[in-house]
Amino acid sequence: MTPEQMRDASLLELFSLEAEAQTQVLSAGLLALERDPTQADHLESCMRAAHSLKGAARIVGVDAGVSVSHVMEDCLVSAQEGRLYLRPEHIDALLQGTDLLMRIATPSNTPSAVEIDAYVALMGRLLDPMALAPPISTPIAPFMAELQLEPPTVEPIAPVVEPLAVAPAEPPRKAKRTTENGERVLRVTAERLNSLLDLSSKSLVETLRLKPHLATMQRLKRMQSNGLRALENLNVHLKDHALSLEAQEALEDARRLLTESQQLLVEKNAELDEFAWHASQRAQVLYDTALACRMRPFADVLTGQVRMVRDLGRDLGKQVRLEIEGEKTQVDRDVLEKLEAPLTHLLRNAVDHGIETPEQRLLAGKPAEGLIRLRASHQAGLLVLELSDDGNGVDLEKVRRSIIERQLSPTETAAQLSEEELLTFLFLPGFSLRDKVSEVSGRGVGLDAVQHMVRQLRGAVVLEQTAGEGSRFHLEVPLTLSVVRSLVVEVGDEAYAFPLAHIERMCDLEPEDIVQLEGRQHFWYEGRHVGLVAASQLLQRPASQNSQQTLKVVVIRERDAIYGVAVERFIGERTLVVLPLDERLGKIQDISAGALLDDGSVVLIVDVEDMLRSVDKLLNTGRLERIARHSNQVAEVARKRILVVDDSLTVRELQRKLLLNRGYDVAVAVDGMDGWNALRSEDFDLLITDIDMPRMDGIELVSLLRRDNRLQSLPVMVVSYKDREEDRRRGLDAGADYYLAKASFHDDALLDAVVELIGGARA
Amino acid sequence: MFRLGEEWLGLATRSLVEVAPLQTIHSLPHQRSRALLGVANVRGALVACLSLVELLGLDATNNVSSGARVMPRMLIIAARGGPVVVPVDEVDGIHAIDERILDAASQSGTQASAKYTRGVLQFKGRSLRWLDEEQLLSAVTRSLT
Repeated sequence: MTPEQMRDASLLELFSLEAEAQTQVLSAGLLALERDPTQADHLESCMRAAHSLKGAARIVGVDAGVSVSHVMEDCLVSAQEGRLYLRPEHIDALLQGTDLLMRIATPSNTPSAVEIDAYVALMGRLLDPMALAPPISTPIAPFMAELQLEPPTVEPIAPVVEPLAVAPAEPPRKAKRTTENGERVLRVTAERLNSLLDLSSKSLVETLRLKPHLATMQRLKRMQSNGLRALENLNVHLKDHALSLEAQEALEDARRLLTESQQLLVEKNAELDEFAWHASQRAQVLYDTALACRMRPFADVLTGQVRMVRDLGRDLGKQVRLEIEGEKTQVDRDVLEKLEAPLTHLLRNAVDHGIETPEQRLLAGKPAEGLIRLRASHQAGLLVLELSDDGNGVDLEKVRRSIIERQLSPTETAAQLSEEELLTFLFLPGFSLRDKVSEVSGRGVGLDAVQHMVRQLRGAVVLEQTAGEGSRFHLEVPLTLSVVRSLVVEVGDEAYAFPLAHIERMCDLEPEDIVQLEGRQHFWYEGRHVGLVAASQLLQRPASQNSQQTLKVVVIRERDAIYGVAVERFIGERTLVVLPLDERLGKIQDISAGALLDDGSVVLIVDVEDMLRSVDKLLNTGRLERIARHSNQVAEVARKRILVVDDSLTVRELQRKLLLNRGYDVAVAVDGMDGWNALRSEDFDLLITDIDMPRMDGIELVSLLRRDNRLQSLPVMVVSYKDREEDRRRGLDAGADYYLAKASFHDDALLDAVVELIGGARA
Repeated sequence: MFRLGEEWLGLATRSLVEVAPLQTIHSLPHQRSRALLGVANVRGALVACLSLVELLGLDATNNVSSGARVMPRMLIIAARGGPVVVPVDEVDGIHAIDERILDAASQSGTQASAKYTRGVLQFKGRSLRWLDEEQLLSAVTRSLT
């Protein structure tokens, strides 16, 4: 097989997997519809199943599948829109189509072209309102007769369909689904997978206990052999004495018994040794396999993409090739699943917007065939994806014009926007450079959706471009959603894990390494002095008694902030499977998630970013205590901090002054994006935001905030010109705690609302 | 039917998922409520762990003579939004109790102090406090958040 054929073959497998799933949905839905033909949810699910299959068939290039699912979809859509009332003959035909689809997806059982044509024609008849006149059975009969030549599907005009519909679906489905290596693919619930992982890790630990047991047995063997030697010794000494016959016999018995038991011990010990070795090997393999169940090669997300790029290029009259590096990069299934949609978006975008037509390319001195390159790799605990094309890049002037046309920014401002800023506009909802909407893109739902999805994975996406040479998307997705390499330490006799990606280094400090500076403990690290904090104090856990002289320190860093966190013990480096904590617990300060150690005990994974802020706070309050006599400064820090986000300077300033007068500490941001950055980097007690803003609107900002672990409990007030009830609802639905119409805030409404939400300016 | 300190308590099995052997509980930093003990590993998932002693305001001291066969265990309870674990000092077992007896118990037992109690009954020579699961579960949910 050529690689091309191989790929197609594996695509076909995927198609049959999907067909199996979707035909089940169809059968179930159709049977329900037969009982009540107008049930909207079943109509919807059947329509979607047919639609998905049509798309899948198109990707794998199974034309018969496309036509069959297309006519089925047509029929279901008509029924959905009320143009068609599903009668038993429709259900019959649809079920027949379902069976056909299943057969199409089963290589050995593919129906003939005649059958497909007959079916399409039949559906055409059924859908034609004229043909729905009473003598319906007569024109259809010939087609049906033809269909019946193949394995008995449905007795076409028989009113009783139910049992018939289920039975014929069975035989083709019996064929086992396999991957290209001939392995079966199964679906397993996450719960089972987790419990498998738990059990295998426990068995791994259990087998570790065999080793000390084996050592004891070896010692027993040695002791026993010493016993035998002692007896031999005694025997030699007794040679000089005359022994009674009985005594000699007794001695002989003892020697024999001891020798026998020695033999047995040696034998059994060897067996036990081998057993222990096998058991530990097996347990290790079991654990690795269970862990690997969560991981899939990056290539999984690519099935169909290469083909999609080629086909899409052909549709648009472009020659495009997709080159992939790092297909084997291991990625958690959950992450992989969520990556598929943004990747597809970006690839379509690259073909449609990036790559030029062959003529343009030749003119520009490039090869006619465009190249899209996708690279996947692991970098410092992140999955990094780079998607670059050698197309024309982004027309910055066009972006600028579009910004002005859409009145997203005044002309003067737009003229001054940097390349980076201009490119961020491309990620705005509804922003498109296409003048007309095409099948492929231009609806303006592309990049903002990509950004949204990547953010949901707590990742980031950045666009770079070089005019005339192409553009490059750089995606970073944390692997912390799934598996994280961590340093496990002990604090207050309990296990905590620092993700390796966030650790600068770990070190042992002797007491003399620690210096007192401004009353705080420091140590020297790379020529700078670094503040030292006890983890037990940070986490508010009781410190355990530690007799050791040396101090175990984890050095954590985030850009410029660098601190040493003293822990009680280093346990070691572990690969942890991240387990979410109960949602009802909310965000726990300094903790991002939990995990299980090899022995099944719980470890909490430290949220290092959060912890750095906590360290900062702790050190600052420590300083506060000493300079408490400067009462002004104390008040300064204790003031509640509010972030005002509004694109109008007037409104912003007005709000700022009002709040300042009341004694609050106020920071401002000019739009949602700016506000979001401020919220992520600083601490606030309240957010006041407008709705309509460029770059990121208030609704999006609030939704983002509510999804963020740290910020989700921050009180939010929306202040907007929009006064209608539905606008209010939209704001509150997004997660705002309070909705204030702009018209009413000269009076005390704003201040009252603020007090209501967070109380007075001072704690 | 289970024991906390010196008291025997009963909880309807419809809110009980499983009785599990005692596990170590990992405390949570910055603890907010005394009832929240931490999280424990239940079949490979992390489940929040609550102290019924705190929740019910019982006497925490456990001075019942520790017989050789007394096994502390954990009850996994189905609360709104997912399971929670509560450690108990001893589990007696699951018993079918006639509803009429329960009804009678709930009518008689109206002690003011017993907020989570639906009734008190004599069972197997012990005084058994029948817990009000609805009250209890809503208290569980409250103490988590």
